[in-house]
Amino acid sequence: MSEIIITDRALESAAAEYREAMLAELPMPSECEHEFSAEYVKKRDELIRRTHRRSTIGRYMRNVAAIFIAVILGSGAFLGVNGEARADFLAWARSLYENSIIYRYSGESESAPLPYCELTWVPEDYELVIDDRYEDSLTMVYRNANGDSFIFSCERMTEYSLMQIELTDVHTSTKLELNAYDAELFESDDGSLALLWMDNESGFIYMINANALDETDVIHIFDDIKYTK
Amino acid sequence: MLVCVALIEGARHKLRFGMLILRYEKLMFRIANSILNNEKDAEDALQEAFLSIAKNFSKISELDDNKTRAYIVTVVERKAINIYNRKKAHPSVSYEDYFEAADPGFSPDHHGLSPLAAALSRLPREQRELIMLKYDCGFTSKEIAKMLDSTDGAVRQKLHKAKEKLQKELEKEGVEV
Repeated sequence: MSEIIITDRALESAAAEYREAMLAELPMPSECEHEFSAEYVKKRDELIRRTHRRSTIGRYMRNVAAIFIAVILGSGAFLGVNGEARADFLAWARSLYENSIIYRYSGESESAPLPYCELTWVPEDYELVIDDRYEDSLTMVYRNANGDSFIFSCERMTEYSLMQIELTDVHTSTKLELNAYDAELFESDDGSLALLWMDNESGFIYMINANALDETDVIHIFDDIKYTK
Repeated sequence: MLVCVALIEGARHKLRFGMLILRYEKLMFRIANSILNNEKDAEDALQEAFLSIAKNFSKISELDDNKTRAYIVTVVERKAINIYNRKKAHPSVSYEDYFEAADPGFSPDHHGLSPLAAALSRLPREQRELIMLKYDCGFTSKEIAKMLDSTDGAVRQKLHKAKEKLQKELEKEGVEV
């Protein structure tokens, strides 16, 4: 490789100059007109609504995104990527997209009410610090005196939603069948775990994310969840 | 710590993210549709772009400034081209092949640019995108690698090649580097 003598400062200055020239040839955002499709508007509004809702749990999630899980808006394009990995679960499509796994639900879930979930067993010292319940999602955050946390969450999946799991830093992903649920366990390099399971009938997807629990504890939490419809 | 559904932290940031979508979506659509020439695909490109922007939202300081606008243009272009490639029977159509054939639309006028900025404008689109993400948007090579589904090493190498090319261009023109 040859030595680069162009300085970073010169590159920053040239990049800024290029940026201004490029933008000068584009219309201003306010000058652009388009009537979006109803489907797009629904997805967009859902994205804005869901990102608003999550503010309360943000402060428990500052440490390392070893496995990044996100509910995002669906798009046909996502699922066209790697078809051979699809349809592992009844009513669920599981596809690979770039460095992520995408789950999508194809059943009828609109009318199923979110069950009232209770964690009847949690590891010693963990206390419930957030219990965020909405019509179609639930987030419960437990924390111990050391600052370790685990999160139990549930989301209603619709035709417009996707669950994306980024595989950066994930070293193992294992498919399981737990109490008749299709499940997948993700383990990351830093010892974090994520257990994800799907309810084929209702379209709800559940997760436990933990940074300081082992698989046995996570399965124990899962086993002792009480769902009241 | 595992992260669950936390693309953007903080209520203020979430509100700003919503504002950003509403402010730029029509411009984004125009760019995506100019590449894809299909409204449905263009709307899909926007969805993918929103996700990418959400992941890097902490890098956006002002909603209205030109840096933000340029970054959004870069992201939506990239997503539209990805969709274009996926839809093609031969998914390896390169950036350049596509843009050589298509109306570039906003290829800047080289007049008035400094020699280095003019050389940057002549770089292949993929190389220019890397330089812009690194030196205008301030992303690290690791962050760029995540964005482009690549590796830190590969991004560093491509950045080096892009800078080499810029340097050669300037030397060829007799411009003192």
